[in-house]
Amino acid sequence: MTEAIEPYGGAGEEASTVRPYAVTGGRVSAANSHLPMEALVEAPSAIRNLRGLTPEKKKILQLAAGQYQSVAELSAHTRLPLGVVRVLVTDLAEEKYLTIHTAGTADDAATHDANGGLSLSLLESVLDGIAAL
Amino acid sequence: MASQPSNAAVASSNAAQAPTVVKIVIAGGFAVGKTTFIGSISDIDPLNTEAAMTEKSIGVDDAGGVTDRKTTTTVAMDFGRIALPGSLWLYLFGTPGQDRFLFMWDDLVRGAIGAVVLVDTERLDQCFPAVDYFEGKGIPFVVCVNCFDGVARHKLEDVREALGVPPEVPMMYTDARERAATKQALIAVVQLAMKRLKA
Repeated sequence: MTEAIEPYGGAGEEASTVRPYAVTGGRVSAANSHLPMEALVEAPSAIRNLRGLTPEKKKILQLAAGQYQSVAELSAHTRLPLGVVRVLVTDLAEEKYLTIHTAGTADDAATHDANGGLSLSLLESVLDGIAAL
Repeated sequence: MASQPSNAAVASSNAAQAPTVVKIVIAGGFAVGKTTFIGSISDIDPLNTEAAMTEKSIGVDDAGGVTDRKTTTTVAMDFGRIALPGSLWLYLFGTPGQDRFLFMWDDLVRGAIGAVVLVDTERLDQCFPAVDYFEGKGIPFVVCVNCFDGVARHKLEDVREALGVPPEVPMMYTDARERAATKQALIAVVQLAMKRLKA
């Protein structure tokens, strides 16, 4: 089920010359198109077989290998728009190539109340942390 | 996490707890000092990304004038990251405050602690849309008047009146180059968010 990679016109190494949504197979939104831009992505440091993955997906896995990278950072480093990175990251997570962490973001019910505001305890930690810088 | 992962990715993420991520939005007109502000305190050199892109039919050879129809809505966004004690990562997202970029702000502010509006008193009008937006959405924000050469040219109360922001919105001078000043601005945002929560 992970083999169904959309064919796309030979992008080669130069992702920036490809029209952005060519690399997503034409899709403009993933199942989780609201994936926060600060959500962290983590891939295993020893990357398993990458055959069949597009250069963009490989690049994302390399960037997140063994370390946390936000969706925004992946976008900056790959020079791909945020929306494109959201689609690719969501795909890769569904294919079990990487893990998405959303603790602290709006997607995390434990740190946000019903109105989307952050919890007081988290804000206190942030305040103490900034003050200690 | 009930099913047994078949590869190392999921297993390793269980071993180490991922950081908790929070964000503060830095808004202001072009060249007001957003990137400098972020860079003064960020652990990483400020990065740049395109926040949105809806290029329609660029390079498509339909019969009409192709170049005339291009609607490029790319938004350059600067951001930085600060690691705080307790496995907390604070992201600072800097974004242009102009009207034409407001379409992406709902995405930007979702889950944010609050915002800093950086003001250049020579170009006050550039921050009107940001102030209106944050007020309308009820997002905690502070107004920071950037003193480019360390000199305050206007009284804060005059700036407040010119911007039309209510007394409960904190206003302060800042120097985007100074880490200590940036720190105070961020503290003010978090304190305001906490005050709102307690109210």
